[in-house]
Amino acid sequence: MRAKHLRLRVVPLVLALFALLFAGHAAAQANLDIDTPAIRSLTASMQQRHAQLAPLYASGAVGITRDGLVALRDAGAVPLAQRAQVNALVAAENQDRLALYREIARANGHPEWESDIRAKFGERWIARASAGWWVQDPGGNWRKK
Amino acid sequence: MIVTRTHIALLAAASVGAASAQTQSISVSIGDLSGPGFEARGLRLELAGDSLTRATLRIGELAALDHRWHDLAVRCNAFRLERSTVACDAGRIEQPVTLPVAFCYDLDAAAGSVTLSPAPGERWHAVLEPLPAGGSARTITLTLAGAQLARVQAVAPALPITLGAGAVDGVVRATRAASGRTEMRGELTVRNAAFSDASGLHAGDALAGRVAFNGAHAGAPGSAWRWDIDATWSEGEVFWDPVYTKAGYRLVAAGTYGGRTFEVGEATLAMQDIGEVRASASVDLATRAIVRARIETAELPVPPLYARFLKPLAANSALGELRTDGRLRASATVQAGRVTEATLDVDDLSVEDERQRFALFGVYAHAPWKEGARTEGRIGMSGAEVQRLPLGAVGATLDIGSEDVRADDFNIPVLSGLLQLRDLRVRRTDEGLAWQVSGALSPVPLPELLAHFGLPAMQGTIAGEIPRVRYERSTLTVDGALTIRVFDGTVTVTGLQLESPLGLAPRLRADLDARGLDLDLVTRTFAFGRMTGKIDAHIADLVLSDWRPVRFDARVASSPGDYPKRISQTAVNSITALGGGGAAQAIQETALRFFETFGYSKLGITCRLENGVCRMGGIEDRLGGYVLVAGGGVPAINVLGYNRDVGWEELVTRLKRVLDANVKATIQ
Repeated sequence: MRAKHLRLRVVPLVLALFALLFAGHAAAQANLDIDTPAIRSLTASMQQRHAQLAPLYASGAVGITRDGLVALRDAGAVPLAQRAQVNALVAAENQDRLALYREIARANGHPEWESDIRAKFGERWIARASAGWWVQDPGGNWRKK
Repeated sequence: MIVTRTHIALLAAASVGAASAQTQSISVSIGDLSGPGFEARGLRLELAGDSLTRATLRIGELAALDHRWHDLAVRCNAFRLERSTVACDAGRIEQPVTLPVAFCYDLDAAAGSVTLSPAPGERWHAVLEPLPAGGSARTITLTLAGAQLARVQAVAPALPITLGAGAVDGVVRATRAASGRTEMRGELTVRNAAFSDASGLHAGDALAGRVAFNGAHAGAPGSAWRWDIDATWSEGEVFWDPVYTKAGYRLVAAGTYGGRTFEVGEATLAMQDIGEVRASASVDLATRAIVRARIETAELPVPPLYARFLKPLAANSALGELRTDGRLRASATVQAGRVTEATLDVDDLSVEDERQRFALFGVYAHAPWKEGARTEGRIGMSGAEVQRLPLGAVGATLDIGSEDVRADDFNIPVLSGLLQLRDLRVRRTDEGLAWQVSGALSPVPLPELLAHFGLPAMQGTIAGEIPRVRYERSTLTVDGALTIRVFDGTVTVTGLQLESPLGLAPRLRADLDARGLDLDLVTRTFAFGRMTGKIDAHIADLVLSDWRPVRFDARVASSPGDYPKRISQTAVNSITALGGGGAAQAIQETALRFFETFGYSKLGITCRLENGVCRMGGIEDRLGGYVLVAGGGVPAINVLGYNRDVGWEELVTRLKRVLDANVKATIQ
């Protein structure tokens, strides 16, 4: 009786979560958290880079774009000697992100979902950005979160 | 700024208004003043006050430095008109900007001076010197003290950069003779200057330097300016995307400027700790096109050149993280805006990838390139490493064309084997470099090769004919088959394709077909438990991502034919442990435990890997499971598997556990 009672409570919650996650999007059926060796190396590389990117997000030098990438938003916030490095960091991050979207689409068995997965991630990165970071609104304008 | 034509119609159109006996006012139309570099129209002097000491000079239009200002006004409350001199010791320009100004002009000598003091410690002082006795040359001298660089922005707002801080000291002097001959010379020092464009991708900070220049113009129509410049950049830093550099440059150049051509006869750029680059050029000013240019470097050390200029350009590519050593010399010729010739000479160059993916040692090269022609070059090196695999000395003759480079035959020693390459073609495409090559690999002993990758030694050799290897769009494709002789059998690799070989997640696809591998040799190599017999293996649609399998369809089974087939108890245990079954227990509980080996008629296993799960099977299905080993002979043993789906990671873990356990058992 106890187990049954619990299950009844959990089911609507799970349904609600599913509805939220898969709310009417083309790539909605895609498993964004799918795991493959390539995805693991890409996310590990991105995680490692995040330590260098986080202070740049905080200072506003780098912002999160609406299309699932990052961009140099205010080079002036970075000392001259480090601008090339920050530029390369942004390029490397974007290279990994694009590879990640391709790999996730591939791992889902639908390479053609790549652009939808990228769009979904675009929303996800912005939603997960910390307060004070700069993100692009749907019109492409920068705003501080 | 020499007054060539002075139309001063003093009082010619004067109107004297005497409103009352006490106050007077005079308005004087001076007319126009002009000279090379400036032109002032509609000058008007208004005098008022008791002794006409309050003066306002109005200029209808002033054109100078390619700029026009309208309705300028200079006000002076202590205006002096003494004999032929008009002077104001403390005036103010009131329009278009407010600036303290002092001026003095001798009408007879047609000489004078203007001093602007826009800020404390800042002075712009121009002197028009009197005619020398018996001479006709006019000289104007501009002396700057603490002149703020940012003011240049006001007269040149179209500059693509914003000038921030920075002060200039120095003297510019210009002389013009009656013949029209003009000479200019200047020496300026800049300190603490800064600039930036809107994006911040082109910026400089704390800049200091010195520039000395000379210019001369014969005055005849159609003749050109001859100029020379000696500029030293001694302090500060610049980021010019993607290059960052600190000061330490000197440019010495000379040339001509006239009509529609800017000519650099000879320029030398000396870069501290790198070396010199010499250039000459001719630029059509109307089209801004380089008509011709020649650039030539001295022999330059590669490490600072790479660190400063090449590394930022190659960021995030395979060449982005190198340790370098050696020297290079380069030159290029430009005709009508296009590079028509270029040469690169490299001497004793070493490059090592910091991530240890590749290294080249003792590289030498002579590579001449000429548009629309084929030239001969050469390249070679004393050794290399690819994924830590050492390669021997290589030398090749290059056939260099406009769009491609070819090399006919060259050999690369690989351990004790030889990779013979033929018909290498490298060409430039929109997506980067593409190349193809064919060749053959003469036998390389497998134990030697595997030892370099830290893999267990397998007896055999690797060799093969390579009809064609292609690399384009970051993908390496091998047409034809690679043959590996191993364990007394052959493994044929076809459809080999490698995407992003140097990227973060290289992706390999291939089909493998193995025939007649000697199980005894295989099981001696891996501590799996001894087996005798032969197997064939077919791995179709193999996909490795980051060198780990993500998909394949594998079938391993006894080869057809008649040969001894025995399997040891350890091997049976290993097979059953892989399936997670309890056959080992079964053996121990029966009379079978007294036997070391068993006979079998056939063995086989299949695994179709997809989404991290291996769908397993055997040689046939039986009793709700699948047969891995079918018994035969005496004593016979059958091994059945029941788990159909096993996680790949789990399977690998089990295999490791089995091998480790067997190694331990052997040692005991």
